[in-house]
Amino acid sequence: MQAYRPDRVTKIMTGMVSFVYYAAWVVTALLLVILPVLKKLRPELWVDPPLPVGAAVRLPGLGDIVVPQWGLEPLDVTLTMARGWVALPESQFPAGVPMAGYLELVTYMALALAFLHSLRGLFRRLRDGAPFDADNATRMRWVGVWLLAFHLFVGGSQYLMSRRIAENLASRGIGATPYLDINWFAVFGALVLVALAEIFRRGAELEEEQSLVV
Amino acid sequence: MTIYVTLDRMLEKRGMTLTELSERIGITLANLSILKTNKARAIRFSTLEALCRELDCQPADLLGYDGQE
Repeated sequence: MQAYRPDRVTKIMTGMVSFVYYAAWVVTALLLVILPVLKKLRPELWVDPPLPVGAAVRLPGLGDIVVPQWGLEPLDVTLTMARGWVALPESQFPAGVPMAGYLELVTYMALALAFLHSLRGLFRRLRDGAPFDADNATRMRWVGVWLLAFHLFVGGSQYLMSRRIAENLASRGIGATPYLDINWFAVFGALVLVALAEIFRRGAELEEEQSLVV
Repeated sequence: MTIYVTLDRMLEKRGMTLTELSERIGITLANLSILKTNKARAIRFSTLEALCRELDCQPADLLGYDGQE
């Protein structure tokens, strides 16, 4: 049997994932350690930037009129849902929210790093010529689990922020309802990955059996 | 494992080393070691034929069965 040789795409993907993995560590160190320490030691340098927070709310029909640039008749468009980022200077956040936001960011980065770590391990074993490896089956399962956890956490935390936004809009007379905005496609993909990991594990068992046939 | 390989016994009888046998039958030393140490899960007929040819023996001289668990 010929030795497995990874193709160019695998090598490129391995390189890209490794780059993103190390870049994620740099960003994590910057956001979670360097900037907070800098702010503590040199508060005069802190410029109080607006911090973005994701939120999704359903708005009642606003009956907006849109005139397309190409000069067609005005269209009667009803805006029913808005999804985006809310940017607020840190100093204007209610008490306790910045700490909750920091813990949320820690969780985001931890899940993202765990996902990238498992994915990188998977690609490296593939590049090294041992794709059907029992450890790779485990890594594939963890890639799916971290992806699932990340998207559920993002959706859940954004929902909590959406509720605050909706309350804020309600106080201004705008009826809005918070919306649970989870990327269900990504969740489904993650579950498929977990299922594929079991198939991979069987492949690893067959590979091991094959290697012990003389 | 209840099927065991007596390759080391035959090698001693014929005064041959594992390395020499590996070179003669074209199977890697690693694979022959797997066979010799009873770690193999299966053996191909082609491999068994090559072993019998080089060691001038019968398959029964290379394989044994241990009925006890």
